[in-house]
Amino acid sequence: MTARHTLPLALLLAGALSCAEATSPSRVPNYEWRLVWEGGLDTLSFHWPEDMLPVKIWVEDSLDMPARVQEGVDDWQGAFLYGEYAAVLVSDSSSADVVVRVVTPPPKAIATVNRLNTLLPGCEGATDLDIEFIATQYELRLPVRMYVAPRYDPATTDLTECFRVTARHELGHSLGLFQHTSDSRDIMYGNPEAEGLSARDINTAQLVAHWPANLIPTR
Amino acid sequence: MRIPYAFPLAAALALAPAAPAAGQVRLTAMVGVTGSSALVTDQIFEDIELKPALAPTFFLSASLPVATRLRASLDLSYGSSSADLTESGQDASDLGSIGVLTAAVALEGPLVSRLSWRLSLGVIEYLPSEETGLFSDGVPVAGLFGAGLDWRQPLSERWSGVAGVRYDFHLFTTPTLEAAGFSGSQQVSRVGLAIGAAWDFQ
Ligand SMILES: [Zn+2]
Repeated sequence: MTARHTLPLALLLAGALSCAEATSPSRVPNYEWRLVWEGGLDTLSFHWPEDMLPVKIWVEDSLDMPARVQEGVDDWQGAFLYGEYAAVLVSDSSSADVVVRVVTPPPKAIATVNRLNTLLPGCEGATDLDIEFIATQYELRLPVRMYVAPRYDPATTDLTECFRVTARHELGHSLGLFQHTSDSRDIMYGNPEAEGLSARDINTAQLVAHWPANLIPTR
Repeated sequence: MRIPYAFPLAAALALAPAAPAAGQVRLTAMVGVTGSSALVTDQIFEDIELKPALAPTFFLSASLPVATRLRASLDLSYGSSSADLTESGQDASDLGSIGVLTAAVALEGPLVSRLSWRLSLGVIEYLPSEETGLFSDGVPVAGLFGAGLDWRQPLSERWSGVAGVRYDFHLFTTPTLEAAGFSGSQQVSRVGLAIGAAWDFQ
């Protein structure tokens, strides 16, 4: 083969390759994620700032909950393309950004806590967001507190899947999905039953991570 | 689709036509830098772009004459740099580093004076340091088309100094990007500049 033959071949190849055009996804369908604040006075959006990643999560070592939360973390991390969210389980609750207790959600201790409740047939969950307007900005006081608890005796009923779904759902709240959806295929459905994240969950999580946050995490 | 045997295959293809030809083998080693266009362009409210930073790159090639004024060559290159993510042109999250390995068969011939041309076909493999996000299911090996110019300055009977410029083109996608709804592949162009030495032996 000579250069005379090689050049047209190469140009033909380049031409064929140039036919493929990349288009990025639209992130549709999605759902509203922002927390409606004080009866619609404002809407609050939150995502973990890059310098706080990986988010530190402490999980009470009961009913195999650390494994369920880790599965949820893996699912949510897999929803992102550009490392927008990462989390690790830590052994010290005092420095954790998210604290997961395996107890029935206790009465709200502080009036500023905004609680998101979840109820499944076998278990229940809640996420407490302690939000205050300080000076010029909304602050989310860490840690975010999550609760997961059985509604029946776990010794007689296998609640593994219930815990898995609830942990995944509450983690969704902790990364900024502050509303419940009306579609039972979403993990952020009020009484979730989905076995994984829906396309709507993934699309919305990606939008949250890139929408300007007006709720800032503080300690 | 991953092609784990692509590099040995490229090597075999390169050597097969060259082996029967009796002539002067030339080994060339160069170091330089490679710049790349974006691997991913996206839009989530703002424009997002993932692009390897300017990468220190090693180039190696072995060539044999296969005809008058024509040599066949096996080319290898490796470079590594950070995978830079920008959002609205601003630096965004860190995606670790990314190694880029290429193997190609090339034809080269004299152009004018001490300048020679080269055209190549091969494969390119991305080796991200962290298999997360868009890299979580790996990066398939892609076909590569390349072209280049070399300037060779004889220094002795067997040694010469070489300065080269390389251009190559390939299509980039990952299984994770496809699953996320990206259609088609990103057209990626890379340009490399390098200097080094060549050694001729019988
Ligand atoms: Zn909920």
